[in-house]
Amino acid sequence: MAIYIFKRILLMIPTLILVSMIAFAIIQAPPGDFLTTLMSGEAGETVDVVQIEAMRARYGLDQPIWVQYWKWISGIVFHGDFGESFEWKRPVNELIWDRFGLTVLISSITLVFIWVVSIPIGIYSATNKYSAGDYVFTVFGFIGLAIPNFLLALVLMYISFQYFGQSVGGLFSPAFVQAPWSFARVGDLLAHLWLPVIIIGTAGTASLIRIMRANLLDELPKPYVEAARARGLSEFRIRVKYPVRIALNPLVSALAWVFPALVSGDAITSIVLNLQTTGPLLYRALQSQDMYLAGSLILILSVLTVIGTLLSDLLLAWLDPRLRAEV
Amino acid sequence: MVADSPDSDTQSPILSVRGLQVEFSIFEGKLRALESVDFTVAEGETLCVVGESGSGKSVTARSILNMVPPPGKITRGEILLRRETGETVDILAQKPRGKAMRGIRGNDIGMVFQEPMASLSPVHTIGSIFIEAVQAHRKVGRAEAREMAIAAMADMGIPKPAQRIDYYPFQLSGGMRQRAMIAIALANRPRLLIADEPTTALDVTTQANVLDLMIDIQDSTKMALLFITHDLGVVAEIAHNVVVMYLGRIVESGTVHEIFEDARHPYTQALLRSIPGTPLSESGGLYTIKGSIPSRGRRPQGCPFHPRCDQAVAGVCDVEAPPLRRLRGNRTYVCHLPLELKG
Ligand SMILES: Nc1ncnc2c1ncn2[C@@H]1O[C@H](COP(=O)(O)OP(=O)(O)O)[C@@H](O)[C@H]1O
Ligand code: SF4
Ligand SMILES: [Mg+2]
Repeated sequence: MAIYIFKRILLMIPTLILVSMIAFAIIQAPPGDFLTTLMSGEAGETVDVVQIEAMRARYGLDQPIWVQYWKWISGIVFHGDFGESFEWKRPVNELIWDRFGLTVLISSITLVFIWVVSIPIGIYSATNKYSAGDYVFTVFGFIGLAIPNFLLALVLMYISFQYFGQSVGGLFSPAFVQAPWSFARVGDLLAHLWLPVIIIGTAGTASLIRIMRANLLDELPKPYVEAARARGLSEFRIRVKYPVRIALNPLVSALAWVFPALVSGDAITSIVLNLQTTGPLLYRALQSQDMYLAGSLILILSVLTVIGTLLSDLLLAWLDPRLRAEV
Repeated sequence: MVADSPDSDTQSPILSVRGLQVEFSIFEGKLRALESVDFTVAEGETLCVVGESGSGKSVTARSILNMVPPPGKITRGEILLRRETGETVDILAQKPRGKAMRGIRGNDIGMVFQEPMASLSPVHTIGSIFIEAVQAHRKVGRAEAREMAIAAMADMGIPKPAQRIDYYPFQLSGGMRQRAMIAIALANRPRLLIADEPTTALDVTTQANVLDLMIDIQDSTKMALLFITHDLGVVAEIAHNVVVMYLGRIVESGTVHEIFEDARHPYTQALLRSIPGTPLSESGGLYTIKGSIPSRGRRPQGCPFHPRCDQAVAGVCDVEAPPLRRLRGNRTYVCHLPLELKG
């Protein structure tokens, strides 16, 4: 297992390099360099020529592209310097970490929500195939898949405002927005969190129910299930120990793509709900060609995806001894 | 070659199956997979069930554990099991998922399946499956159950058992897997072991080893063995008694001697002619049965075997169901032959 982990981590390195190159290519994609954009004075401000020259030197803009890439990536890797956001006129660093924290928080809770809801329902649906309950969940599932997030967001916001008297939008009540962290603030956060979690998680829950149901239906008639039954084990035990566990494997492999999907899936929801997550920030940065900010966000998201893949592979290997042996 | 036969007529059987009928509800309607199946197995007896694939051997085995898979349903019959306490229970009167039934499976009756690889969970070690099987039926601590597992694996001739019990199925060879499977089936010392084509998936040498092993176990434990196979060579080696099945019915039964030396049913005779080394194949040359088992649901009129039977009597075999002929005790066959001349 240790060798397996080591190999997998080693394999990550070329992937990460490639990913960073792609992120850099995106920064470079708009025509001209960003200083030209800056000087064209979109915001109508005057720009200090000296300052511009300083930036040109800092980012190596008059040098070959690979030097620029190296300056950019080495700044990030060795100094944690992600560059400057033109729109915000602040280092990217100052802008993103709070938002990443929130994004990771919301995404993780959503992931847990999706699993906790969809796994038992999927198991129920598969073991009670074509029962009334199975049909009810199937209908709910398709509705969940079909409703766009923004619509769900608006409906739930209305409900939470109308019936629970919660402030609409944001993750905190007005009183807590600027307050320092405290138990009360965490409580307030949790009270607001259910809304985005349900909105972002509904579609994923619906599709995972389908996946879980199909997987389990594949496993239940297998000979090893019958053999376990012939040993006198109870149906509950048979299901939990064998087919459910094996049916979970695809869910674990889904970890790799679920995370970025959640992060991008929440962009629209976050805009509607006015959440301070990375989604709206990335959206805005791409719109205004704030390329260092956009590139940094894309880079970090990609790295998270690569790490997600690694985690899911390691989990799979832990769950399935056959994979461990292959390496 | 043939072990001496305990006389099942006089010994009270451990298992007796009476009038068993199983139906599968499929799209085309009801398909009768078993009809009027009768047989008994006594302590220390090896009963072989033979027949081509699709003849209902596996459904019979699953019926005995009251776990015919849906859409199948046991529609008639009784299956009496004499338990260690001496009481007799009708397995078919138990709820298939009930506690009483679970207490019989894996405890009074062990089962070995055809595909050792598919029948073992791919993600659990042999030891954990064994320990679970023991703990399902008796209060035994983990450490003790583990010791039992190691001892059982050693009994099955698995080298380095203390190491092997921590192996996953894919780390074992086919023969070792099947030995482990047998060890697990025997974990609670059942009085009846059902083996459904346990050697079919193995190569010839391994097959012979596993067969020898089963004969040894049976000799030493005196348990009853219901051995399912389509291979008459295997039957000759291990059976005391034999039932021959065709399309869900027993067409002939008797001792292994009677079946091999004096087969009465044309289907049995054809099966015997198709394997080398029997009196029938020596005299007439190797033979294959013409045609194949009819597709499901299409049971021929009269004698179900008549389209393939080389002794079929036109006007009789294709019209009337043949009678059950009882020569003595368990010696039976179902055929119109010999035809009695009617007035
Ligand atoms: N799951 C099933 N669905 C429908 N019919 C089945 C099913 N399983 C068995 N049968 C029927 O029962 C017959 C006997 O099957 P089986 O006992 O598996 O045969 P054998 O073990 O002798 O090869 C089959 O020919 C088929 O008609
Ligand atoms: S009854 Fe007729 S067809 Fe059937 S086995 Fe006997 S001879 Fe053949
Ligand atoms: Mg079979």
